Amino acid sequence: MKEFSFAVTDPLGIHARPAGLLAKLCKGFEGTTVTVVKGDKEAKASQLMKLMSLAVKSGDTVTVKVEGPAENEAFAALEAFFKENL
Amino acid sequence: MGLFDFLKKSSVPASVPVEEVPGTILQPIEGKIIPLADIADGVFSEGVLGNGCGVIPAAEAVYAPISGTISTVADTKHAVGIEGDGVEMLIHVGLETVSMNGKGFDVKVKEGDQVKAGQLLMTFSLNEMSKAEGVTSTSAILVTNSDDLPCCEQLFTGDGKVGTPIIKVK
Repeated sequence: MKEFSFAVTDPLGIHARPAGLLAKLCKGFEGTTVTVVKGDKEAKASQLMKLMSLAVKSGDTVTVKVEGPAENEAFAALEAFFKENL
Repeated sequence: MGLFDFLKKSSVPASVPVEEVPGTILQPIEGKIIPLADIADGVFSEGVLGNGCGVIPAAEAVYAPISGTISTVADTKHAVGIEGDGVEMLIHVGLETVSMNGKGFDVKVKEGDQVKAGQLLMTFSLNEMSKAEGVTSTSAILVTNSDDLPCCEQLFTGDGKVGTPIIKVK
């Protein structure tokens, strides 16, 4: 399992568009589970509605956990995604 | 002005009578139903958020397309999630409406609420949308877990009323 923390700076946070793009990105790493944790709540990145209900906003720090056969690739792709989009 | 507000409010009923059909999603907003691919925003038209369809609103109210539980309400009030009978849905009102920060939107439900098909979920202002930069009123009706279902068959396109069956799920 690999994980990284990310401080969100996008004022809109994880709303529909980035959530959808994130879910799509994660579907590309079959068998690898990506979990986004905010405080005591967490959601799998593939579960769009749960992900959006975390209501991640600018100023929040989230932890992204990656576990599975493609975790190295997924980790790199996710780090790049968060930096670029959030 | 107060009188107009009163008239406006009274014209939006708290629910409309609909006939629920198992495995079928009902039209949540009065207006013109269009194929998902015709929504002018790739995140919707390419199915990134799930399969479904679009609607160009002719009225300013969103009614529950299925019976179920409210799974999410966007902080910016322009999108509501609902799940019931194994179907997870998102109704995203307008394009780029996230930038309006809730202006003109009035959500009547909260996360965890049980709702019946045809129940009022929110109202919105087409006037506020037309004033906001980059915003259009075209809304998306999405089955966000469509990859996990035999979904979706579009039943209808064109002008329709709230409660018209629009998508067959299974």
